[in-house]
Amino acid sequence: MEILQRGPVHDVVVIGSGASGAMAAHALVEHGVRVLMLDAGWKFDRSESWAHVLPFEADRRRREGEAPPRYRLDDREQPYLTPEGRPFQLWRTWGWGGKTNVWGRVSLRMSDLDFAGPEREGWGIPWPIRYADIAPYYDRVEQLIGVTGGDDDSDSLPGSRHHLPPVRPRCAEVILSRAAGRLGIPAVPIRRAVLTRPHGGRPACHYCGSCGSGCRTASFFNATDYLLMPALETGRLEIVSGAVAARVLTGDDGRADGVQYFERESGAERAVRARTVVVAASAMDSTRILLNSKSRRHPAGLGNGNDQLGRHYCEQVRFHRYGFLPQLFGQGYTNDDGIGGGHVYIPRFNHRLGGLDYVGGFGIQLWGSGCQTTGVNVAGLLPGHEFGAGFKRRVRERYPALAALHPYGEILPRPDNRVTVDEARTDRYGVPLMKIDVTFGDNERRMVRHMHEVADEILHTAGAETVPSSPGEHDPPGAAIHEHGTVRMGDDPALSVLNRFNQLHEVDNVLVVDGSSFTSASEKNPTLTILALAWRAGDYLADELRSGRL
Amino acid sequence: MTDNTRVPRRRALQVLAAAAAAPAVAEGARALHPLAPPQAGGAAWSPRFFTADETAAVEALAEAIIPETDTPGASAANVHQYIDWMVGRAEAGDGPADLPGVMRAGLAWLDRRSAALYGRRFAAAAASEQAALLARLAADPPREEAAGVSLFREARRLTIAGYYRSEIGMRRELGYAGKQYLTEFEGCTHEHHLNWDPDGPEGRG
Repeated sequence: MEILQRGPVHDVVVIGSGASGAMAAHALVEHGVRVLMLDAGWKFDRSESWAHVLPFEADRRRREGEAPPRYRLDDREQPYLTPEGRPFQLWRTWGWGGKTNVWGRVSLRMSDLDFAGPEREGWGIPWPIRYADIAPYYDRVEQLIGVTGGDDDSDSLPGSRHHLPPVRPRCAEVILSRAAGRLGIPAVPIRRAVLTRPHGGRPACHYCGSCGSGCRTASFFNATDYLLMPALETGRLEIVSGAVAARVLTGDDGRADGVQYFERESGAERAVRARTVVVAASAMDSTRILLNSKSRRHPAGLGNGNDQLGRHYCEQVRFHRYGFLPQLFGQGYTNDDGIGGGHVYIPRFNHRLGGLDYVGGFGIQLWGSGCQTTGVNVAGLLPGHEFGAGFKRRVRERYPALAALHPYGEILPRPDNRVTVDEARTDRYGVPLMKIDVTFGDNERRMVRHMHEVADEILHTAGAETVPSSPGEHDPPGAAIHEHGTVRMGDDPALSVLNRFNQLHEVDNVLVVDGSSFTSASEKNPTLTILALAWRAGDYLADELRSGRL
Repeated sequence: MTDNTRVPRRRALQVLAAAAAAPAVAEGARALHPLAPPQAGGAAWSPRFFTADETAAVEALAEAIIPETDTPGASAANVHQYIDWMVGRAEAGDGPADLPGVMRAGLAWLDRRSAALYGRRFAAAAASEQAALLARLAADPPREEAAGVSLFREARRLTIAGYYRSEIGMRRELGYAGKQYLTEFEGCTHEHHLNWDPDGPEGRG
């Protein structure tokens, strides 16, 4: 480790440039701290997005050997292991901004129902923070990134004074909202990090609805344009691209003193020295890095003296329920692109019901209604094996009438749902691979049953022709791309890995700021909370550095 | 209810058509975000996976699944080219490994069966004969052999994907006009939706 002995000592080395790493770095450089960031990929060029390329044109380009920007890491380059018969879908982006280049953008504040839920209902350790601790950071994040939303405010979804104007619902969403309302289930305008008017010097959304292909105008939050570029302009951030972080290095005193990484192109081993390390490689990879950071002082991995690291994985279980609304049959094409995804959200409401046979909550998203997709979806959802002129007519009639409900339910943290590393199986750099072992339990099965009942009831009340489904079906673990819990926060150092400021209990100069730090998952999309926690952790770290405590 | 005459409720301020009227924001968006060029057409095409006879059968099969009506069908949309590409990709390792075998064996079965029933290969059979054979394959339970049923299901899946991703399937059949530059999104403006009553005649009641 010659480099380690010789190179400069960086005040902070941040591993990962996605929402959490970029936010922490942004906060740190604002405080005058110098930051070195490692990212496993390179900067994406958003002018290369295929957002306006229609399917037939995309097919033509692919036939000619072209490809859109590769936002998703190929699992063959960096494999992960799962036990036989227990699949897990892992979606990773290596490159500046991480998954925020193509994320779903739903931006929901967690509430004290979420923060106090585990101890109130007795299924988990307490969160070390409450809504009041994080609310000022929600305010700051929303003002910085721009979030469209309504003026609704409830116990399960706290309101905000900083929303950009809401976006109006599409026909199918109007009808589904009214059907839900008839059942006493409130539907509210979606909260999404999309600019419904110019904000922060960036242009408003132009409603092409193709956000999942990457936005050429940066009219929704991505960590590169909104955080990394301003941070780079201060001159206090330096980014090393193509640097695949492997381990946090520690000295004889057990404290972190650097980061080992491998150059993605050459495979060469490198190391940088650090006074403090911020781990922000996304939940699964941050866990893997810490587990692989073994030493004499940390034989089970960094911060894992209590055998809590990698355990208590949690996320959301989801499924997709479809129907066709006769009110819209034969209406003809309507441009339903909008801001991409649902314009309406059904927040958690089950805490107001009695007699449930499970704990935790669920919310319902409504992406994909109306003419947002191609007829391929609609044709595929019609039952049986129809063909011919009649089939073609039925597809045309139903194309504007598609109604889609996507319930997301909270998965409880359980110690056996965990990430480990397998010393016998290594990646191309010789670093042990991670093994992800997650199953859904009885509470989830009971909740999924209720989620199906509610979705069916909404479709039925709307008068929809429903697409058959089985009451227990759901996506496999990982599909929601909301991984949490494996490096959880808590006030009890025996039962958690991080303290209330995302700092390792066992190693004070290492912070973990991504979604792995969540004590529980809630039913909500996490990125707004990840940004708020990472900003708060960045402020804390800057203060600790300034005061000399670190 | 069909109402194709009303003013488009989501005014698509296409800068190309109305440059003077378009606000600066949409101009900026278009500069950053150009429309894809139109589909290249007219170039000679030759199949990558199928033989000439198989190609004829695939084209006839796709057209029987999504025929010409008041809009063109699968044949005019070159769905057979799409299917050839997809099966060729699968053969190259990018797609279901069993797809090439299912298609090849199924097409051989299809011509044999058509010859036995109608005295002609499938591509040469009358449209009514083709439809009658497909109806036997589509029946639940199917009234033909597994080779034919598997072929029909794969061909149907690929025809749906190829047709409704094609310019003809999207624009002419379904009227698609999305991925535009809009200065605002109007959402639903239909009074009969905005005031729709779940307890009224169209709801559960």
